[in-house]
Amino acid sequence: MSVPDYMQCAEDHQTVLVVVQPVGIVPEEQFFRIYKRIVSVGQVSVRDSQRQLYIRYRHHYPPENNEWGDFQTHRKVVGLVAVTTCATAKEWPQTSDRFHAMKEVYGSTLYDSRLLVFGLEGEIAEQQRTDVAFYPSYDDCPDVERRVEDFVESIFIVLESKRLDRATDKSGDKIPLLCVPFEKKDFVGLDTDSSPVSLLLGVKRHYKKRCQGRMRKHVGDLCLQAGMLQDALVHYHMAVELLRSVNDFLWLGAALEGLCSSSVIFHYPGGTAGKTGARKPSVSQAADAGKRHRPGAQEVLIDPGALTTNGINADTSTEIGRAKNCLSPEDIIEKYKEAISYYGKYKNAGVIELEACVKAVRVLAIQKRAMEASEFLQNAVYINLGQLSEEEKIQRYSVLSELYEIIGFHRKSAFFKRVAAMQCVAPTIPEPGWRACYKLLLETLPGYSLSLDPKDFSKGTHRGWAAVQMRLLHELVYASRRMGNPGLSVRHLSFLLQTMLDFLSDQEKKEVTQSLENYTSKCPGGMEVITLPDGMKLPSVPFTKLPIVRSVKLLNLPVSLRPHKVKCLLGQSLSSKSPFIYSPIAMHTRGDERCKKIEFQWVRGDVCEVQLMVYNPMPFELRVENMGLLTSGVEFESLPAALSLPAESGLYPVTLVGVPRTAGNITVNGYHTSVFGVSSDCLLEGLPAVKTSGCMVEVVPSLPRLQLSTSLPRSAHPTSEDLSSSVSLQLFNGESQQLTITLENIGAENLETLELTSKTLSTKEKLLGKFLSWDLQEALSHLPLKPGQSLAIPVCIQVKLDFSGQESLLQDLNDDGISVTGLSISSPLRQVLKSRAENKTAGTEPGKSEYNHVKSLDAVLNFKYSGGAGHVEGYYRELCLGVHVDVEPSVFFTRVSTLPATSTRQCHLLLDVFNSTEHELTVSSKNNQDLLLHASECQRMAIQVDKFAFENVLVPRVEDPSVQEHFTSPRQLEEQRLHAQGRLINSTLNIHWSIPSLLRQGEATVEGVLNQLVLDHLQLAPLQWDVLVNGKPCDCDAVAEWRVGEPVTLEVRLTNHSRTAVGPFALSVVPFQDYQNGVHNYELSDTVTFIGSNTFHINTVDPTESSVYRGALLFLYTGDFYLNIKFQDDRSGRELPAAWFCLPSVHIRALESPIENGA
Amino acid sequence: MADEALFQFLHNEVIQYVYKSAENGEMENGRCITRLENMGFRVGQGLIERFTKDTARFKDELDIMKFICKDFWTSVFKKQIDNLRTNHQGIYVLQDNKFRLLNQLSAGKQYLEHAPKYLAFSCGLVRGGLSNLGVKSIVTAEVSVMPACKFQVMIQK
Amino acid sequence: MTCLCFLCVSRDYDELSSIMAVCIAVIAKENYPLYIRSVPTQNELKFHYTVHTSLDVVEEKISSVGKALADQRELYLGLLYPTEDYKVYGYVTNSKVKFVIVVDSSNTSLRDNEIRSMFRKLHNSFTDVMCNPFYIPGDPIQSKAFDSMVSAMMVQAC
Repeated sequence: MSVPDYMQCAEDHQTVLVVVQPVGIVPEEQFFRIYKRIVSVGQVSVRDSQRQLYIRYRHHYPPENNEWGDFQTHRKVVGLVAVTTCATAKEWPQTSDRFHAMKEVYGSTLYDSRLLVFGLEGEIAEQQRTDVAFYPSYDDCPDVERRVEDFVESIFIVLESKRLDRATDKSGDKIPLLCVPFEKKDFVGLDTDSSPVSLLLGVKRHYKKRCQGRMRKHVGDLCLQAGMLQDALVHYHMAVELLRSVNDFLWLGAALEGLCSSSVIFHYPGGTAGKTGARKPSVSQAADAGKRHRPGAQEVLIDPGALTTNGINADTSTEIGRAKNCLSPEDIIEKYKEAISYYGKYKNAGVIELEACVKAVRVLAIQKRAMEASEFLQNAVYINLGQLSEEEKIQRYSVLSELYEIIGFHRKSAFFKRVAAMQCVAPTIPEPGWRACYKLLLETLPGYSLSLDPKDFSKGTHRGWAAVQMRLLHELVYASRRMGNPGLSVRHLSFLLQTMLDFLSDQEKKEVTQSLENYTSKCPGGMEVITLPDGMKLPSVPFTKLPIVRSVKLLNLPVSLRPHKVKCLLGQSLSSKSPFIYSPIAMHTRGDERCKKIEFQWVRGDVCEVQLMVYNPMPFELRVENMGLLTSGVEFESLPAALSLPAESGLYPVTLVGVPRTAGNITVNGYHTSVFGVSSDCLLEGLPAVKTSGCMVEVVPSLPRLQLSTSLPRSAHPTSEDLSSSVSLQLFNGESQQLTITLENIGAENLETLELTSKTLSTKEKLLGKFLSWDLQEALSHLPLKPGQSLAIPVCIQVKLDFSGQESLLQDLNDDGISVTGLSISSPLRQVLKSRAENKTAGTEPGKSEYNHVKSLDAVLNFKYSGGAGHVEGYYRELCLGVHVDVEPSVFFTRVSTLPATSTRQCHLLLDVFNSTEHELTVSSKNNQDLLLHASECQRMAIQVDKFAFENVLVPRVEDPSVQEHFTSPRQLEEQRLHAQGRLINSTLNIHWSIPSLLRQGEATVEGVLNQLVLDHLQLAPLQWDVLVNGKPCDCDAVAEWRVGEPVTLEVRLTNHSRTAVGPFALSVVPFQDYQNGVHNYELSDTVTFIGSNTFHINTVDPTESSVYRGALLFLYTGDFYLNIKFQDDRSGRELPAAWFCLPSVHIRALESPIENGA
Repeated sequence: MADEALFQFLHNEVIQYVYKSAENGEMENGRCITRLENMGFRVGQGLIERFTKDTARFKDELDIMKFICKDFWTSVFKKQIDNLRTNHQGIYVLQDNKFRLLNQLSAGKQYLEHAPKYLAFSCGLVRGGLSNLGVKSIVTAEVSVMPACKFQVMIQK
Repeated sequence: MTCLCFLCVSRDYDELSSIMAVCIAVIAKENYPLYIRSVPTQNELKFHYTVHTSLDVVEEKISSVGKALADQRELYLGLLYPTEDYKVYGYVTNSKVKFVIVVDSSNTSLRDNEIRSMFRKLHNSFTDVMCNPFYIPGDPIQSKAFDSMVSAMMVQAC
C-alpha cells in the first residue's frame, strides 16, 4: 500500500467505502455535480432497524489499497457507482462492457454496483434494471439520491449477511486465516502442517488461535460497519485477548486500533476530523450514550470463560448486558500507542502506522493533550514510507502542518507549512508550483507573528523573530516573482523594507533597495490594496521611514503676501464666516495639537509652503521623487518636488509647495513620495512621532498681487524683514526728490482698492515740513487695475531738518547780543572760537565732522491694497517700502536778527547763512540777489520783508503725521502757534540754495530758527500807524520836503487791526537831527516849532476803527530833520507789545524857500 | 541596623532631589510623584528577578501576592506585610502597620500631607515586581495614621 | 534593602561543564528573542527556526490547562523535543523569560544535572543583566559579561 490517507479519522472505521467513477468520457463538471449529490448520502438509516450506516465515497482509489481490505474492512471497496454519458443506443453495449470491466477491478471485494447513464433515451432507457439507472440528462435526474440510498441498503444486506456468516461461523478449525498483503507468503502451508514437532510446539493450536483472533477482529470490523457498536467492542476485546496470547502483533495492533476507533466513535459523536467532515451524531446513539457511558470506566468484561475453542456464542447480548466495554478517553490513547508500537515493528505497515498516528493525534487534539499529540506527530514525521512522490510529500507536510495547527502548535504548523511550500518548488519537480508555494507561504505568516499590515509594526517593540521573518519575506518575494506577479514582489519587498529597516545591515539595505528598483521598473508600486485570488488582502505599505519625517511646519506667506483682515466695527461683519473656528472634534488623543488651527492664513491662488524636516536613515544617497502634500478640505494643487538626500544626513529641510485652488479650510493630512519606484501616501495621523504645531489653515479668497518697483535704485541697506524693499538716498537738507513708485499687478485678480500711508520712524530730529507727500488721485483713476497692468505713484521726499544746533561751534559774525539759541554772548556756555580765518588755515578742522555730520531719516510707505474675492471678504494686503534718507546739512542759519526797515511795515531780516557743505553754494531768496557761499563759509544776508500779520494765522489742525501727541497745554499751543508763524514766514521768504556743481538745490528753511523776539519784530503790528506829512504818506526812506517857514501838516492815523480796543495813548513828537556820526541832536527847540502841542492824545480805538490826529509843525531852518514820534508812559501800562508801537520814521527835509523878490 | 538606615537616607535624599529639580523648572510639579514611582518600578523589576531566581513557579495570582507580602517585603523592608485582604476579583490590600520608610516621620497628623511622597517609590517597587511576573497592576498607597499604611493593588486585565 | 544600594553579583562557580551547546537563546515574555547565539555554521537561520518552534512546546508546558500541580513548580522544563540532530531543552523563569538550549544529539554524555546547571548559570547572569540600571527591560541583551558566560557554554567553532 503506497498512498497514505491523511484525512482518515477514527470514525472512518465504521464506514463502508464506495467508489464513484466515470466510465468513458464524462465532462468533469458534470461528473462532480453528480458526485456531490451522491456524496450527500453519507448516512443512511436502515429500514426496519435502528442502525445507521455510514458511507465513505471516493472518486479515486488505488486498487492496491483494496488488498488491505481484510485487515481493516473499511479499506475495501464494497460499492461501485459508475457514471457515464451515453448519447445513442449504439454506444450502449460498449458502455456496458466498460462497466463490467470496472467491476472486475474491485471484483474481489465488491458487494454491489450501480451504473448511472445520462443522456440516453429510448427503448434501452425504458428498461427497468436495478443495477442501471437511465437519466435523460445531467439536469434531469431527481432521484439520484434515492437510488443511492437504495444502493446502500442493498450493500447493507450483503454486509449484514457476511457479518452473520462470519460471526456464527462454527467451522472450528476451518477458520481461514486472514492476511495482509505482505504476509501471504509467510503463512503458506502452515495450516496443513501436522508434523509431530509442530504438534509438540503447539504450533497448530497457536495457528488456530491466530486464525480465530484475526477472524474475531474481522467480525468486529464488520459489526462496526454494520452499526453495532457494542458488539464490535466485544469482538475487539475478544480478539485482543486471543491475539495477545499468540503475539500476533500486527493484527493485535489492528484489534487495538479497532477498539480505539469504536471508543472514539462512542465518546466523540461529533467526529474527530476537526472542522471538516464533522458528523452529525445520530440521535439514537446519543441517547444510548447517556445510558451506557460511565466516565472513567474501563472494564473489560468479557468473561474469559466465554472463550471456547468452538467459537463464541453468537448471541452476544448476554455479554452486552454485563459489558461496559468502551475504553476511557485516556485508555484510547494508551491503546493507540500500543497499536502504533506494534505497527512499528513492520516496515511494510508504514502507511497503517502513519494513519494510526494521525487518528490518534486527532483524538488528542480533541482531548486537548497537545504535548502527547506533538509526540505522536514527531513520531509520524519519521515514519519511513519509502519513496514518496513530490506530490505526496507536499501533502504529507501540509497535513502535518494542519495537525499541528489543530493541537495549537502554531509555530510548528507554520514550520511544516513552509516545508511543504519549499517542497512545492523542489528542484526535482519538473514544473514547480510557485503559485501553490506562494499560497502556502502566505499561510505560514500568522505562525511567525507576521502580519502584512504595516500598521501593526508601527508601535512598540518588534513582535516575533526578525531574522526568521525577514527570511520569510524574502521567500515570499522570490515566490511571487517566479509566479510571474511582479506587483506582489514589489509589495512584499516594500513591506520588508518598511518594517524591518532597523534589522537590515547596510549591505542588506543596499541589496534590498536594488532589487526593489529592479522590480519596480517592471511594475511600479502603489498604494492600492492588492487582493489575492483567494480573497486575502494585502494592505498598502507606505514608506514612512524613507525618509523619516521629524516635523511638519506650515509656513506663513512672505510678508508682502499675507492677507490682513479689515477690522470690522461693532459686529458688522464683512464676511459671513467667523475667522477662527476651533475644531471640537479631536481626531485622536494626540490630535489636539494637530487639529489646532494655525493663526496665519493662506491665500487662494498663491503658492504656499510647508516645511518638513526629514532624515535619511539609509547608508547611501536617497533619491526621492515626486514628493508632495496630501491635503483635504480645499482643492489643492500640489507641486511635487524631487530631492536627493545625502547618506545618513542630519535633519534636512524640505519645502513642499502647492497652490490652493479654492478657499476654505485646508488640512494637511500627510505627504506622498515616490522612492525606489514605489509611491507611498503617508498620513500624519499614522506617524505619532512627527511634531507639528497645527495642520489646519484657513485659505482666504484670492487677492491681487502687486510688485513694487521704484525709480530710485534699491538700497543695499539692510532692511527689516517686514519691508518688501527699501530705497535709500542721500539728500541735502532742504532738498527734495521725487520718487516714482510703480506698482505692477502680477497676480490674477484685479486691483480694486489702494491706500497709501506713511510712517516716519521716530527720531530725535525735529522734522520740519512734510517728509513724504504724494497724490494718489491719478493712480486711483486707474483702478480696477487688470493683471499685467501697472500704475505709477509719484512721491515727493523732502527733508527739512534742523541743523541749527551746531551753531554754538561757529564764531559770531556780529555781535548784537542775540543769538538763535538764546544764549547771550557773555554766557559762559558759549564757546568763543578762533576767528574764521584762523579756522581755515588749520589743517584739519576738528569741529568739522561734527557739524558736517549726517542725520538719517527713515520712513515706511505702506500700501494697502485689495481686490477680487478677497476684497469682498474684507481682506487686504500690504506692501511696505522703506525709505531711508541720509541728510547732509546744506545751509543753516546761525543767527537771525532783524533790523528795522525804513518802513514800519517792513523789516530787514538778517540771516547769517552758513554753508556746511563742501561745495560752492548759492543762496537766493525771492527778491534778493544771490549770495555765493564757499564751503564752510558763513555770510550774512539781509532780506527785506513786509511784516506779517500773524493774527490771521490759524493754528493748523494736527494733521501732520509726524506729530503724534495731542496738544493740550497752553505752552504747547503756543509752540504750535510759533510753528505756524514760522511756516508763513518761510513760505514768504522762500529762501533757496543751490549747488551749481552738483546741480542740486533745495530750500533753506527759517522755520526753526525764528524765535519769539524775531517773530515779534517781524510781526506786523496790528496797530497800523500811518504818518502823513502834508497829506503824503511818510514811510521808509521817503523824504518829505517842505519849505522852511511853512507849516507842515502832520497827520498820525491809527488803525486798530487787533481784536481789542487799544488806547488811549499819548504821543509826543520829538524832532531831532541826525549828524550821521551816531549823534542825534535833540536840541531843536528853536529850529522847529510845533503849531499847537507836540503831544497829542489818542483816545481809545476800537477794533477796525481808526483815529486820526492832526498837528502841524513849522521848520525855521533848513536841514534834514527827523521826527521821532514816541509814546509816553501812561496809565495803561505796557501790556501791549513794544512792536506794536513802531511808527514809521519821518524824515523831513526843510528846504530853502525860494528867495522871494523883494526880500 | 546600619544597612537599613543607608537606604532610608538615600530614599529621603532622592525625594528631596526630585522635588528640588521640579522647583528649578526642570519639570512640572505634578510629575515628581510619577518620577519616583517610575524609579521604583524599574528597581522592582530587577529585584523580583533576583528574588524569584530560586523559588518555584507560582501557581496563581494569589500565590504571587503572598510572595510579595512575605518574601519580597521581608527582603526589602525586613518585615512582612501585616495583613493581606482581597476581594478575589483583582483587588488586594496590603497593610503594613509600621512601614519602615515612614518610621522616621513623626507619628500622627503633622506631616500627613507629605506622606505620599515617601510612598511613591514603594508603590513603584510593587508595581515593577508584579509587572515582571506578568501581572499588570495599578498600585496606590494611603496613610491614615503614620506609620501605618495600606497599599492597594488593582490587577488589570 | 542592601540589594537596592549595591548590586549583588553572585556567580556560581561550578565545575566546567562538559556539555557544549550549539545554540543558546533568551526569549522575552512576549516571545521575541532578547538574545540568540549559535555556533557559526552555514545556516544559522535554522537554529532560529528550531528555537522558534520549540516555543510551542514551552508554552504548552507552562500553560495551566489540565496539568497536575506538581508539574508546574519547577522552572526547569527538561527536554522539549528531540529532532534528528539536536535536542532542545527549555527553562522558564518566574518572570516568564524563557531560556532555550540546543545541544547536539550525538553528545551522548548528557546528564540532566549538567543541563540544569547551565540553565542556572544563564539565569544568574540574566538576573545580573536585569539589575543593571542601564539595561531597559525588553531590549536586546548586549552585556559583555553575559556574552562571555554564554561563550563558555558553547561549542567552540573551529
